Amino acid sequence: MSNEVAALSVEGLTGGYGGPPIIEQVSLNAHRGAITAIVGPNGAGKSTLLKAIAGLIRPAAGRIFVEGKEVTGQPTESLVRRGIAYVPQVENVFPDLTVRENLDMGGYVRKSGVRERIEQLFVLFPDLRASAHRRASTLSGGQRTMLALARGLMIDPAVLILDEPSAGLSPRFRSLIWERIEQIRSTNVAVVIVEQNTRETLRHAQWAYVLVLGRNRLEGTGSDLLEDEEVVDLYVGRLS
Amino acid sequence: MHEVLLTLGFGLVTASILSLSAVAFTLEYAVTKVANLAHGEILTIGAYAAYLVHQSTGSVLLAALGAAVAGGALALVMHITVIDRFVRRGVGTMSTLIATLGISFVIQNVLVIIFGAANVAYTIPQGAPQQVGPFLWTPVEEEILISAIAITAVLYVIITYTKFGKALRAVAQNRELARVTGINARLVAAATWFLAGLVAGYAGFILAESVGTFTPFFGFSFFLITLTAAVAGGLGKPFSTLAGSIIVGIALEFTGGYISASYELAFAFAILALVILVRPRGLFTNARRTVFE
Amino acid sequence: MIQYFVSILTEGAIFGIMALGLNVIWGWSGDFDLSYYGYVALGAYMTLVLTIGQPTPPAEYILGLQLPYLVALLGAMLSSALLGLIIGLIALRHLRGIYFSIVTLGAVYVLYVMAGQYVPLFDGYNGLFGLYNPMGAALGLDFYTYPYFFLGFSLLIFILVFIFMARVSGSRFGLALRTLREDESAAAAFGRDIYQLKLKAYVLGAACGGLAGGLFAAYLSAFNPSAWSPIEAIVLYSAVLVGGRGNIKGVILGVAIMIVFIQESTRFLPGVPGYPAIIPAAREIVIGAVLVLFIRFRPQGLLPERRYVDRAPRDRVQPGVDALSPPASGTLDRPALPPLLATEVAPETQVREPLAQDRPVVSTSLPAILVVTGLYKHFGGVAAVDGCSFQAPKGQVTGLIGPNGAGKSTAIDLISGFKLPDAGTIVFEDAAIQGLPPHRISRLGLIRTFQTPREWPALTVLENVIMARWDPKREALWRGMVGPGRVQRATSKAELDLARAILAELALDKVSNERAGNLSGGQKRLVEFARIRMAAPQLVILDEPMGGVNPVLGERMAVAIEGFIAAGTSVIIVEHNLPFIERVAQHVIVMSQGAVIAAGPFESLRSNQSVIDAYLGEVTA
Repeated sequence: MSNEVAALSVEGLTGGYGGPPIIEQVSLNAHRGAITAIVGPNGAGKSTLLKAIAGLIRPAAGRIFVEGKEVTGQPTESLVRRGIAYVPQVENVFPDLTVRENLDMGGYVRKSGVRERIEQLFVLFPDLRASAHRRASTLSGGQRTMLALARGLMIDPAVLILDEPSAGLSPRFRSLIWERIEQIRSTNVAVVIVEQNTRETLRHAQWAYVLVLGRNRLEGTGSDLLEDEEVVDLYVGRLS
Repeated sequence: MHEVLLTLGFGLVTASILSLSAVAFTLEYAVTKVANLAHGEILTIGAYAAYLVHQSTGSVLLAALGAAVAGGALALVMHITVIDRFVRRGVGTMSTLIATLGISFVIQNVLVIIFGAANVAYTIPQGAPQQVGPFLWTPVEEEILISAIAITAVLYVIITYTKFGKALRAVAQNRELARVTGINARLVAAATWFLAGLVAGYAGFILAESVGTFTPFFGFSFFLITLTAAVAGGLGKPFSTLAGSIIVGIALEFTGGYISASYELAFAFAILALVILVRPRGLFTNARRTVFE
Repeated sequence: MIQYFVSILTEGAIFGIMALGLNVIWGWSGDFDLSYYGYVALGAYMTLVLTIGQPTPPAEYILGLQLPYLVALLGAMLSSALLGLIIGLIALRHLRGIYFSIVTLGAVYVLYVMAGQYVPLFDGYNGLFGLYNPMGAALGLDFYTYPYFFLGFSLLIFILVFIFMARVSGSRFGLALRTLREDESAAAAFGRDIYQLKLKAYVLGAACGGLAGGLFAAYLSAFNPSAWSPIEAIVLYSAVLVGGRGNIKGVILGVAIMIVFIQESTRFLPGVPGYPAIIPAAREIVIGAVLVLFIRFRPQGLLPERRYVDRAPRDRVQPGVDALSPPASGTLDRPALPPLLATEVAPETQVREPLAQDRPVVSTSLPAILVVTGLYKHFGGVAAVDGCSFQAPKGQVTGLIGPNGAGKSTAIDLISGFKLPDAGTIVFEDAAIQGLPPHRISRLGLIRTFQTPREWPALTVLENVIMARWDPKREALWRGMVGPGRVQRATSKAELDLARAILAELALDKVSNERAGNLSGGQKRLVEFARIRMAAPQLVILDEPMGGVNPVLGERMAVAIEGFIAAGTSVIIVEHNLPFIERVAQHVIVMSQGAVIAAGPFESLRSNQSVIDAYLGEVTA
């Protein structure tokens, strides 16, 4: 791990949807150029954690820093300007807008260079170039996910937050997505990702956090955790 | 055939007024998911404001502007003081609907206090009907048609090509996702209501011009037809609503002309009930789209 | 002066009847019905055309039968009920919320226009008049004494309606209605036919409106469109809202405040010279403002709907072995299960022949209570359930596990009737149930829970449990209305004792009088369990019961599930919490990507490679 300031730093985050907290005292760091994975059994609060980081949920306690500057409590629309791009799991594109219009939308806060950025993303996602004028609702699931990713990248984010991007996709698309995520990582973005396919995720992650029942449980490099018996048990049940 | 074309001509005038009112209503719904039962009152305010301005300046143009500004102001106030608060507080759509009913009541009676409940007549001369192709229109009706087309064109440009318009469409389709792309949904909603109010206020003016007289309650009675057109086209989708309005406006004119004018509202409801029961999301959703959404 | 009070009280009584009727539809059934005033108007019109004589030209109207007033009142009620039936049949089938309100608004507007424009009906905008002092001549009353009589008469009717509504409120029908309002899905899951119940309530409310209309016509001695512009009806709605929806005393209070007090107090304000309309308009502004403020800050009204507080002393209930034993068969009317219901299968379901690979994995020799074969359901090209087949053995707990997106919840929805399968068969106790609506399946003895707790929030815990059992005899409307004391009440003593015992067994007795909505997530789950115990179905399907529940409650819930088995209810449980499955399930089925990939005892699955792969994910090349 590099020693530079983490692109994203979360300390003691606690929060939920109004009732009892879903996540408690969660901390993590994500660095540029690395894939940081958040895994754990169902009900662990992974999606809630992502929403809290993205500013859609107001944390009850804890602090969030982007590139060293505190952003705790700021709403989503401000965080976008700070360089946090969030890609939700469902409803992550505007169905009645075309592919190009979706990307345009992604570049809403950009002061300039929207066209150029779209061009760059078309190089990364050639499929999207081919369907630039199609409505997003007519795209297949995999294409939609690509679009959602590209939309998030429009702002040249420091941190790209992905909530189960390969959910419901065929194996072919899953590997395509992971290819893209690798490429994104190599452009010096900090990728924070929650995924169902734990093994695949740990294989690609430079660093991973295992969340159980809303709290940090384990952390380590992806390959270390892949070998770890404890992880298997967490899922298939000896420990809980 | 001549009769049919004449009726079609009148239908187009009705459709113009209706489309402005319905598109404004649907824009209000699009960005807040609130069916604004006080929408008719925005038209009423427009009519009264135009009347006042015309009385003092004699200018029809200024009257029209006055109507639009008054409508925009009222819609904005409604949004900021009540609707936005309810939406952000998470008050349910049903409760907000009931609240708009209360607001409607308040506004109508404020107007009664200020202007009295009696009919107020416009003194804007209609002019003599002229032959325009197969249609027979008065100069005022021609103005109504042209201005409605112009306003619709401007709205189309705004919604489709401007940054604000894109933000509007984004908020309408998915408020959370719009926020996630950095759009300030609250601001967009408020601005949209102002815009809708401008259009609805003007619609009130031309409606009053076309009918000749109005009272504090006339916006509410026109509202049911507006509701029909908006729901038939598809709540929240401006251009389907436009198509729905044209169809409903012309249909009403035909049923009014060939059956009886006084049953207009009955037919409006029959259409409304039919549409809601068969295709609650509107006639044009899922249909093949052209340049209009 | 006295005359004045007499007339206010009469008006109050009449509007009180209106409010009680609206309360049935808006307060208990939970539908914001904007056409209600139309039923009042129709009642008024019909009363007039039934009592006054033939029209003298140029006046035109229908009937003119000069019937006695009481007969006319009956006619008014019936005609409003009929209109309510028509509008209700259309509007209540699929519409709720905004769309329901819009359609009913449209309906009343059309009625209003018809009444005004179609002159042959009720003489258009002139309206009808001539109903002077009905029954007065027969009783020998003169002009001065009649108002007192009519006040007495109106009050009598009002009191009768009030008593009637009080009985409905406390009846099982009333409670069933409220379960619809609180949570329709749960109500259907416990056997209620939503459409039928709502329709009955709607017609009842409309009839009440018609009755009030008939009295109103006599009070005004005339009726025309200006007496019922839809805008004025808002006052009635504000009365019901302010007073308290769902509380019959509340709505009366609302009428007293909004209609009587506000109208009358402003009557005596000095008018502003030259502006006669100001005071009435100011009054309406106050009413509108009150509506907005109340809906925001006090939506439950001044007198919120009351909850039933059970006063039985707790030490009379003996939790223990007795409470655990299944109830004597005499107290449970279980309908005999019909044979294969081929005729009841909905046409949309294609039942294809089971293929070899569909044959469900049989891992026990126990008879199966549920056999699912080749179940298939797709949403827009994605198969959520893709050839799912399994059996659940009778008398055991069967776990249904699998990673997210495996199709477990969709399978449950298909089995319980909340979604229609595209193909496949579901056989429950030798009866094919695919295609049946949820309430029918529930009545056959299959009950399900949902991923989020679906208690009926405004009802108390005890009420929740009592209403878990579908009792068609007691829930009939007429039973609630006219049955003598014992029969009318919502529940029998035996049932009440059983409910208390179940709550005690689940350690919920201390909260039995709390509104279920105020409980914690775990407690709500336990209430759902209590409901299951009460309903005593043959099979219960629990959909992620541990979701959102504090793990410390796990043991309590496991014991409760064992209680189900002891009481004769088989269990299927969908869960992600695998230690919990290990604790309670004898037999486990694993789903992945819409189909069953393994089945057997939990231990055997833990070392099953395909199961582990399903959970942890395959590594693509």
